[in-house]
Amino acid sequence: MMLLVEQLPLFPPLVRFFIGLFLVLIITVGSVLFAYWLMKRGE
Amino acid sequence: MPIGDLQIPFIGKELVIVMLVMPHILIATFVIGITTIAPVAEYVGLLTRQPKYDRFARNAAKFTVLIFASGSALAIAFVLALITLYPVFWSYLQNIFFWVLLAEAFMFVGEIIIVYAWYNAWDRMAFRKRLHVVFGFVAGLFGLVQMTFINVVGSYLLTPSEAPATAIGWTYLNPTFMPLNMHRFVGNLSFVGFLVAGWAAWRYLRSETGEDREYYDWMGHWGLVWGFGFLLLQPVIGFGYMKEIQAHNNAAFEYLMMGDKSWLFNLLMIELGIMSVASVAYCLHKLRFAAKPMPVARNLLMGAMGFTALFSLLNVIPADANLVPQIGLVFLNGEETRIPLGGMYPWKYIGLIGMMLVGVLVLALYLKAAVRGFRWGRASRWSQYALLATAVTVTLTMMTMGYARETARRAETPQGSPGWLISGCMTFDQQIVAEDCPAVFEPLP
Repeated sequence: MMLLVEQLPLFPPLVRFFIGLFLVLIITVGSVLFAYWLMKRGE
Repeated sequence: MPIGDLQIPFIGKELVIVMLVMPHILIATFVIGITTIAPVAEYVGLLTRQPKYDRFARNAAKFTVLIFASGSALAIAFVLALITLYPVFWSYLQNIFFWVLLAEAFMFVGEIIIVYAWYNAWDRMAFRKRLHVVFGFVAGLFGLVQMTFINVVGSYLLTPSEAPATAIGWTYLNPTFMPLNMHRFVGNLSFVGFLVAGWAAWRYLRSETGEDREYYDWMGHWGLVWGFGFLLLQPVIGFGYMKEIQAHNNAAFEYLMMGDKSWLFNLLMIELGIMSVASVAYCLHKLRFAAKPMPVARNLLMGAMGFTALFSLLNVIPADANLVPQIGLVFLNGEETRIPLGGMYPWKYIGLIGMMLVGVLVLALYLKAAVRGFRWGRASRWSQYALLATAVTVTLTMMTMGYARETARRAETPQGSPGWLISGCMTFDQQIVAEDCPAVFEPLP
């Protein structure tokens, strides 16, 4: 049986595409900035 | 299905995988590429006694150690997501590739240990530099072998071997395994080269001291040579890869090259054009600061820039008016409207081969100038913007091509499912379609 939360609708494909792109960039850039911040703190 | 089929609201479970894998791949590729380029820099520094190489290698190692954690965390989250969202698929993969994935895990362990040791022992091993360089190369080797193992899995999904799943050798050496390895190996170096160049450009533009300007100017050149040099090999290797896909998964090939997703390759050509023109423009600009003036080479490079732009334009012409059907970008009669100069043969061959030959000429002349030396620290802002453009574009190229490989399994819609998880074997809904997939050896009587 599906949970109620699982029955919520999906965004249209194009919207999901841009959400995906946004999330990928945010996570990647965030990881890089975090590593750079750590690097600068260590100096 | 024996267990629950979890759904993620609003974004869907596919997007969960994308948002974990793409950042992971970008970071992992960086780690593998930089652990090849940085040890080379360290070794060159050892041979030439120029401290800038060691400064670069050491900073690269430090950043690698720090970014490694994020990359690994994303990989673990990705595996957890696969187990939760695609349990049947993942258990099949674990069964087929038990040894490969086990070996890969050990490569991770080896890589972590040696990368940390390499960075940590920098000062302590200052008088045993040759051994220290070996540490760096071993780290690169671990990363490379680990990438090879995951390529086995990635390539199998698109072109599974026509052999029982228990035949380790056959599943390992599936048809697109080797081309994918070559494509990614060269891509790692090109990707990291352009990123190094982009980073150097950013720091150059913000430098306040003459020493820093000289260093970052040199670093931009160092990154660009790796990035552009290896980029020139990619069209040939990528062509070989596509030929293997054509031979072993024709539906995927048609879908990517002529079908609804051919816009990905049009996009790739735009990206390739930007990287090539920016690289040649940078080389041309740099010749102004050659220690020994090279007027003939400058004129040649100016002509080469024109040809690179021309070949790039030829490459980006789409084959038909069915541009991006997913968003309704279709003109006239769509697929039936052929665009002049848009066909693969002979136009794209001319464009790609021409671009590579001109690129090799540019690189040869540029390296000749580099051997004689440059006056560092005088590069213009625009040359640095060109480097920044290559770094941004190469990242988008990685994402475009990663998406292309994975979306190729949507070429068919088996049993009403949006695509294959394992081509010809398991649908997107984790249904096994063929009895002999994955097949097992018949037990001996």
